[in-house]
Amino acid sequence: MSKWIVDLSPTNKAAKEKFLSDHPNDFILMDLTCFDPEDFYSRFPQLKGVCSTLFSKNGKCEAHFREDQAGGIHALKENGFEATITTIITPGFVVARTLSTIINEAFYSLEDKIATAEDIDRAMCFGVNYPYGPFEWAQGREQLVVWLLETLLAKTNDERYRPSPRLLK
Amino acid sequence: MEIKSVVVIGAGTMGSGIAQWFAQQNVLTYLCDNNPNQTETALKKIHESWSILCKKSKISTDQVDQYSQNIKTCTLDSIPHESDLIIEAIIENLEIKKNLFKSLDQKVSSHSIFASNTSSFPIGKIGDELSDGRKKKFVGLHFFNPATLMKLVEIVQSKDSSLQICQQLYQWFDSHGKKPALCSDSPGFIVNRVARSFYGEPLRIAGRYDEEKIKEIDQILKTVGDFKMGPFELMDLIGVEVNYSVTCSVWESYNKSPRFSPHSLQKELVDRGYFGRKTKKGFYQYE
Repeated sequence: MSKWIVDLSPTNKAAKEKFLSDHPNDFILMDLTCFDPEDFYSRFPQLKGVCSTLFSKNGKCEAHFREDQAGGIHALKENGFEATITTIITPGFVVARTLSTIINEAFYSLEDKIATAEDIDRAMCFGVNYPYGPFEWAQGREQLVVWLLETLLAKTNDERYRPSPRLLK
Repeated sequence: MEIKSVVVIGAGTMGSGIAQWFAQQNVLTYLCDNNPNQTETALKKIHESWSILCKKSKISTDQVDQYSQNIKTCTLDSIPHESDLIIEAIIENLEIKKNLFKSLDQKVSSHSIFASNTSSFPIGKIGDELSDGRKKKFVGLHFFNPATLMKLVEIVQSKDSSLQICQQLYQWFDSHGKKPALCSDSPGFIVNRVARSFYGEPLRIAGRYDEEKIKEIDQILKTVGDFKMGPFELMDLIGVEVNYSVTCSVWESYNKSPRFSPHSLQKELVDRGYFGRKTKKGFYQYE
């Protein structure tokens, strides 16, 4: 098993890039929820695994490894996360990418004065059995949602990812 | 606010569920349909449901007796004129709904609150030919299926609806175990608007039909995201064509905003008649 360096910090893209540049010969596992993991893989060979923990509320996360999967799973476990191995390494992986668009729409709805944040959360939990309401999910993660939406917007050029002005505030 | 009697018009799945729930709140409930056979069939199913709940000791025989006394049937011609609340849960056809409320407006007491369970039409449009007094008492009450179990009721306030009545309804439902959410009269209300991304984004992650990838997305959203069902298995359950139609309706209502745009993979399935569980083929294959 290799000696993994794990970075699960909710920092911006430049900070992630600097961290990797500062560790050129290490074996790195990095949370890249808000950025493009494929782009990072292509530029930083020392990046051996990527994961998405930032929206986890149950201690489970998505992870992908290009080397030493068993060691990477163990490293995540030592950091309090149970890995679900995925082949899908899009920005936001599956959960955060889906949640970020739900959260963005909830903010657009708030901006359009459709309902209060409390009623929107309540509607999604009790109308379609979501485990948490979109605002409950976004609490304290608003900047991460914006980074992720901006990454998706830049990668796809699709206006569906344009962050709501209310979310940007 | 006191709701002592309610009329539910439309004895289909939603209407009978709503009527059953009101009867269980000890509200005198009239279930009504223009097809008397439909009303009788729905009433029979409601009684069967109570009987099953009683056998499972979820409710007592006294409760079954009480609930049974609480529910009655009527026809459109014999609707009690003094009901506190009249809820429409009929076919999603704007003209039929408008005509129904217009004719009721002339017949029943000015005291009665009118409500539509529509998920497709603006409340203001359904009620635009009502008398000025009734417009204030006309709201959307959007229940979710099955109405006896799902706690949410979206209370939809049109530009004419009285805020006071909406707030009183909110309190009433809240005090009877529902989880009300007050919203304005806009396409999709809350749930059908915000939930679009739960389908639209996984469709974009999948990109094209790939059963392994679809399975993986469903599995991750359940395991890591804590959702009870994955988006693809849920679309298969709801009906791929039903979900696609709601998406198109919301998309068009919001001037074809890219946030709601339908995905080609979903359209492809609809065009091929792969509607999900009901056709044994959808995103998954069913035996």
